[in-house]
Amino acid sequence: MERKRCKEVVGMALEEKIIEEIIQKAPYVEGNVRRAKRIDLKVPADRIKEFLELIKKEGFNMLIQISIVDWIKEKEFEAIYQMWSVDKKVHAFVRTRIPRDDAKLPSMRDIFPVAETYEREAHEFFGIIFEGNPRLGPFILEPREYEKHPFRKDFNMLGYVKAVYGEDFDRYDENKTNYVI
Amino acid sequence: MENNEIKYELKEFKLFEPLFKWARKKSLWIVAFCTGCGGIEMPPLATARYDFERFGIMPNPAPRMADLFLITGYVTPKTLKRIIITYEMMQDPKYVLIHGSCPINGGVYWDSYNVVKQLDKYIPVDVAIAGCMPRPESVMEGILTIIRKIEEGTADGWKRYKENYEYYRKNQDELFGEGWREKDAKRWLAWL
Amino acid sequence: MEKVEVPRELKEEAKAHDMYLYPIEKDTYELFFGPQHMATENFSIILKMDGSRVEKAIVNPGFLHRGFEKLAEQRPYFTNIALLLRICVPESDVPENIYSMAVDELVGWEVPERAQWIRTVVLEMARLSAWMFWIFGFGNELGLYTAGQWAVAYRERFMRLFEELTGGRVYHIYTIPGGVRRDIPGDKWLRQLRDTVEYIKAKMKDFDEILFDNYIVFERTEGVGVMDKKFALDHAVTGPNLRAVGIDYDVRKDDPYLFYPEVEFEVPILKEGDSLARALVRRYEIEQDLYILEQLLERGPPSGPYKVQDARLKALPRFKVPKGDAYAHVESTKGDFGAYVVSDGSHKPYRVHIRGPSQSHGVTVLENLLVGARLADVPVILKTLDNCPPDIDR
Repeated sequence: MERKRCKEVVGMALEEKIIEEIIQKAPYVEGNVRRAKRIDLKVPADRIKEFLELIKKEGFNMLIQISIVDWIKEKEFEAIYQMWSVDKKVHAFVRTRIPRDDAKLPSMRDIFPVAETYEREAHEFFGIIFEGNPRLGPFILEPREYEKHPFRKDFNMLGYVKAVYGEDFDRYDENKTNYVI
Repeated sequence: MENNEIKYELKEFKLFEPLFKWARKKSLWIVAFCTGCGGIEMPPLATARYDFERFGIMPNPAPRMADLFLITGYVTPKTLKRIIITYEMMQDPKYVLIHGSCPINGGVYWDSYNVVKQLDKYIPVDVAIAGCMPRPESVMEGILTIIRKIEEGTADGWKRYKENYEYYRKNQDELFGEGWREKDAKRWLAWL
Repeated sequence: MEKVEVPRELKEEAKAHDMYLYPIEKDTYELFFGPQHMATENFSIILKMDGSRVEKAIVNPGFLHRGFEKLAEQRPYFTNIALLLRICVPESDVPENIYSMAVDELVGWEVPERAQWIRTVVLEMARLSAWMFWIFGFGNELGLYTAGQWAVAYRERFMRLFEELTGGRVYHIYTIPGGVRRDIPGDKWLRQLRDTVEYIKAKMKDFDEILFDNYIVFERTEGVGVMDKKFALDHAVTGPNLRAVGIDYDVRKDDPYLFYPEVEFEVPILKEGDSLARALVRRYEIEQDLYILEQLLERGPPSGPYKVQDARLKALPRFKVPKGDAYAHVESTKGDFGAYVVSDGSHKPYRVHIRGPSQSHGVTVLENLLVGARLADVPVILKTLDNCPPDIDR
């Protein structure tokens, strides 16, 4: 079937060549190829900023998103920088792990100006402090929810909803609304 | 409100009541505030297929000149503050029409921390339209219901707001905290 | 308040005409371009104005935040389709497709050809109805209300076809991991779709006369809100906004998915980077989308099942997905829409992170493009960037 060509046939030669070049310049990185057009790179937490400067020169010039995953059992946050290269047409996951208490990461604002928005959002929902970003603070949430950092795994959403909106929060009160069609 | 009695109409104009009711029901103007999901079914209502301009309805940017407030879809606390300010800026008599099942009891987002579950505790509601998302024909049925209620004289959300102001005010303050209007405005001025 | 000195030449010229010019006092004020506005859809910008020019802009999103990513962790995989599609309201098939593609990659099954064809046709129909909605918004901000009235009426034809196929006008809940939920209702539906495509093709020249070939539109949008290549790449601009700067990036060609390798189409690119270029790129893309739909309909749907036949689907609410993570992205009318799904082996997702295109367009790009613009240009810049506030807030 011809449609499989978009996933396998072109060969992973381009992705493997990219990983070899990166490992030559930065030997502290582990990389592997997930499938065509997806590569995976693991970086230790203290060298993440110089690695992103290096990878920008390699052609990965668009920072698409910074995703944070909360691994509560291992007591770590995982930060994944999703990068896309417009010339080589390859998507890279750049991962680091940082400890959960007192989480800090350097800000990538001077390399990729769009990282300011992604970091504001990650700070608001998870509580990670990005050093060098002057605009951290309530952005999408109001100050009352912002202090709780709602997307952490130890935030009990149902309990919070009951506390704010009352115990019978999803019951429909027939006497109140005048007319329903 | 001097003598503990709220006056709604002057005795001298009672003769013209039918004329006022006819004028009010045939020229409802909507506040142009697209508050949520349901805003996507407003353009089909306003344009050629389910035209509501034949009833005299028109969207208008200024709240002071409007009488109908369509709250289309779910409401978050941040939007609710602006809705309350806009609602209090509108002149009497004013009517509120809510779309969707989210303002009735939470809808799909029943366990979300940022969606208001029962809108009727904060703003008096006249007609609610169930559905997710309600079809334009249902919305037309809701508007015709409001027109019928104006004719009968039972569209009294604005009277309920005046009479039970303490109840609504208590619910609003419980959700937002006391003195929320001044605190919210000052948050932005500090930047400048 | 600062005093601004009047230049010496103006003073001498005034003296020659027996007049006297006083020094001006510069004063700035703040303006809340707030949520109650006809141009922004429940989204607020706070502008610091100097007269009628903008000096500084700060974006205030968050009026539509529902906490989707946290809600998605409490519901099983297949139920999340009914929840996640409310992220992008004008094109609600795009979030369904990215979530289904990511879960398909995690599970590892092969989606049948007929389902891929149907998914592509549904995506293209969603794109066309979103283009019609964009014409409505763009025309209204310029004061040309007729274009919007026509466009929404043509969009109603697509809504009727969607209703026959999926059961709902706006929210379809149709694309699931493993295929689609129902089959096409028969040949009559395909014939009606072909008639709609030809009808809209014939009406494009009306839109040209009134909107895209109009002298007033050119005057109002030329040179307004200009970006260059370095700015666009630094700020992660995607979609038609990036193609108006001169960079060739279209997800359908660079990272192909579904039935797109089988159809041929062009990617329109312009070089100027101002509002007019962004509007014209969208106009050319409407033509290309109509051409793609024509080719798909000519080819006809392949035969076969419309859902994957797998024994695991019998235990549906407790459907378990193997461990891992996946990223899938799709070209929507607003830009590059992506979803990142992490699974830890149970029947609920561990983390779902959706990347909407307006997260970069509506925040940093807007704050930088508005500096120096006049107040009347603010809605024009907002609409040509095609900002969709639910993407930012989720």
